[in-house]
Amino acid sequence: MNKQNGYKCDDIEKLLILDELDASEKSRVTLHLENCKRCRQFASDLENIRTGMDFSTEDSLQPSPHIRTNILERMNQARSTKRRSLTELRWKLKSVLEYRVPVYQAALSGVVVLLIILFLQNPPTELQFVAEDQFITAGQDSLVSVPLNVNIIDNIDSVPNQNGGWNSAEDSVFSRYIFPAM
Amino acid sequence: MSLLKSKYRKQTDEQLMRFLQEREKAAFNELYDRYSVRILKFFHRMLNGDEQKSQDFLQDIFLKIVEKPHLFDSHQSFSTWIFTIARNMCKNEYRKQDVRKIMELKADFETETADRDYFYAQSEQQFDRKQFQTALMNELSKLSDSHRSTFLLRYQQQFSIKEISDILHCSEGTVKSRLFYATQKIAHQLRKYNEEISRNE
Ligand SMILES: [Zn+2]
Repeated sequence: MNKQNGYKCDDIEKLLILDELDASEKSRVTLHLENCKRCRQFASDLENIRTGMDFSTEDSLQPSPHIRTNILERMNQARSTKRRSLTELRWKLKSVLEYRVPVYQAALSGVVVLLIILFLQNPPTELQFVAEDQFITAGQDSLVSVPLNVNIIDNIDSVPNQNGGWNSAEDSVFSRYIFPAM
Repeated sequence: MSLLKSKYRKQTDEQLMRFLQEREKAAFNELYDRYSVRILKFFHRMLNGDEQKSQDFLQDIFLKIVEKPHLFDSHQSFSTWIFTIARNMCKNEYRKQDVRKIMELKADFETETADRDYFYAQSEQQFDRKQFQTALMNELSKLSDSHRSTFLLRYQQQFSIKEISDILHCSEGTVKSRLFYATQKIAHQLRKYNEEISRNE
């Protein structure tokens, strides 16, 4: 085995193949090549391989033009599918809000029927009387004024809070729709 | 449009992938411009010069990328990621072909020998780079999958040893030893053509 300036030819071949030499390795390899025909031949072989492998030299091979078109088309499809499903979701939401869905309508009618039954079981005059009565006693020093013509069914159980308002405000509002003002 | 194009041209591959995750077509176009030829040529060599299959694979790999861009982790390098996918596609293809290969091996060997005889007859008269390249590709096709991919990633795609080890999921030491083996083997096989090239130049 040929050995020039501390490097065996095998080591030189490996260094040439790796081609990631630092400055000192580079100068030692250059010195070795000056004195070793075998390694000079290998360096030349390697150079030819590198040139032969450079992908830019294979000019004739180009991607088929339809590939880009196909992929862009697929992206469009994916986009419109996404848009379609978003539109569908929006429509469904709108239907629910606008009572377009039959199931929702049925449920709503059920609730209305239930409320009518409740209404029939508890005649409003009696309730209205109790509510107004309670309002008068409780609301004497009330800061929040509640119109007397509003029928407040739930205020039977309500107690005025520290500010003199009503705790079951939501129920009060709800009750307006059940017992329209006389 | 051209303003948009130049905007993307300045982005790194990894930034383009983030735009692609938002389904930006211009980002796809830019990545395709940067990688389609490289990937096609890699497939072409990995698939023994089967151009139709290489084109199909090119389309498949980009479809995978545009359909599942979220699979890309932006902390990694796009080039090593795309070549990892490309290499795995070839690996799967070899697996599929394994059964067929055994059947075709004999026929291949006979054609190859005839080709080589013709090549040697020609070589005495005239050598040029084109012929050298054909011989090089012929030698390359005889390497195992792991040696061939290492060789291609290094000499055709100019990746560093570290990058190749990331793509192939093996140690840098393994990459180096595969590279030494493949290069020395090919250099040895092509020695006579190299001598001819040197003489002509
Ligand atoms: Zn030497």
